[in-house]
Amino acid sequence: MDRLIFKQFFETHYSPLCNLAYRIIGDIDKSEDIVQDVFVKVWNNRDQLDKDRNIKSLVYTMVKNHSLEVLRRDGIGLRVVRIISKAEEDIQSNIQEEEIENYKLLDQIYVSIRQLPPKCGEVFTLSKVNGLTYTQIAERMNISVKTVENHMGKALKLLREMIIPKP
Amino acid sequence: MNPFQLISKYILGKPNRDEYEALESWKNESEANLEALRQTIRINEVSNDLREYQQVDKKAAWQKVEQRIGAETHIIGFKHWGKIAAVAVLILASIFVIQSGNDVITPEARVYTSTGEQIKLDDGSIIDLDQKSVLTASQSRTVKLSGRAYFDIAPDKTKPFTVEINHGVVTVLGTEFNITTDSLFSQIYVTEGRVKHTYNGEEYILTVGDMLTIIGDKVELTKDQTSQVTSWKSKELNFVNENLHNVMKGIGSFYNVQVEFPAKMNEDDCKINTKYTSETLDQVLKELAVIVRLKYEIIQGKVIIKSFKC
Repeated sequence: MDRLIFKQFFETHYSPLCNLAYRIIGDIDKSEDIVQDVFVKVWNNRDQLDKDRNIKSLVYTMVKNHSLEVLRRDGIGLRVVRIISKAEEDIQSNIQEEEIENYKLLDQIYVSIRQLPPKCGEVFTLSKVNGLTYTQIAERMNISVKTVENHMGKALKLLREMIIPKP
Repeated sequence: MNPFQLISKYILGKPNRDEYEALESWKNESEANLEALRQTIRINEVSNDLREYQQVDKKAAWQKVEQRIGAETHIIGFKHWGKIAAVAVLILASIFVIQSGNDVITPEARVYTSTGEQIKLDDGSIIDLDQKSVLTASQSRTVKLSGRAYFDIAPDKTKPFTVEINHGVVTVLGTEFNITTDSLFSQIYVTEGRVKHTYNGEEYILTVGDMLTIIGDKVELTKDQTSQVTSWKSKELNFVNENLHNVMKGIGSFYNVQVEFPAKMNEDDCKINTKYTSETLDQVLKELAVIVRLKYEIIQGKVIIKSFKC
């Protein structure tokens, strides 16, 4: 692996990986530390990496397992119990491709929101990021619920066009 | 009702019977329709996780990682180059014995990518390379650039320094200048000395403050004494009583994005005082939205100005 490829890999996956770690440990600073550690580890051991091994799956699995370790070591409270018991079954097993793709997609959606038309983006953000109901959004923006629905539909349509390449 | 309205009705959960049936038949019409529905549902579901989404600073993180893995410029395919170089030196050495007196060209191509550190070439020239840019140094005083870089060239009257760009070649004796180049667009801005640009058989001599812009086959030479085109290097944008056109021009080169004003807005008399260092483009635009009520849209990486009020 040369440095350019490594850097490109970092650019694409750093943010999704941080979000993966964050979902487990609930602390973004610690999540960033974990992801950076994993990247340094991968770089330092790049000669030993099996060429056939799927690097992407390896890195996501490392981040996930590392996060679970940190959670066991430092974590307290219900969150730990809930997440560990849920993760217990699949710890040490490879992360699924679909899960990786979902983290990447989430990242692309976040980046693409700002390219939506202003009203449309605002409605989408209030709904998905702030978790408001359509009625609350309608009141807040002084528009009808019907218009909120239309904006949501338009946002989903545009996001799909922006994110998923045309065949 | 168009298919997309049906899809959103379906996803957002309130189709009536007719709508539901209309969607069902649309979905069964083709594989592409079914795929569109699936993708939209997936985007909708994944979006629900936006509530927990955390934004991180990729640039700062990369710098940290880079510090830990060593920030020296990397020679592509180092191991192989070692071998090729050894062989090449051997062959050249034998030719050299037979034809002594000829110039020996070092068979070494270095590829640099931005590491946040200046590149120091063997001849003493110093180059600042921007993000996402690549510089290839194939031989002494000859480089090829894709992206953006600022050159401070060590003078050598006997051997001009050349930069190959997407649109022609820039030849230098000893000077400082800034180049941005990609497949569609190249721009050269000189801050010290003189450079010569050759493209399609045409020659241009540029001196301090000259800015040469090439889009396709169109070449335009302008004077720009207050240009902020090199601001990306100092990582600081500073505006004192500047009008919005100039501010946006500065922001455009700082963040390497195109900015478009509506044709009817030729000049403006805003007086903007502000300074940006580590802000993202988004933050900067949002600040301007407050200062001058800037309304804009970002379409395909281009900032399009809608309106503003000084």
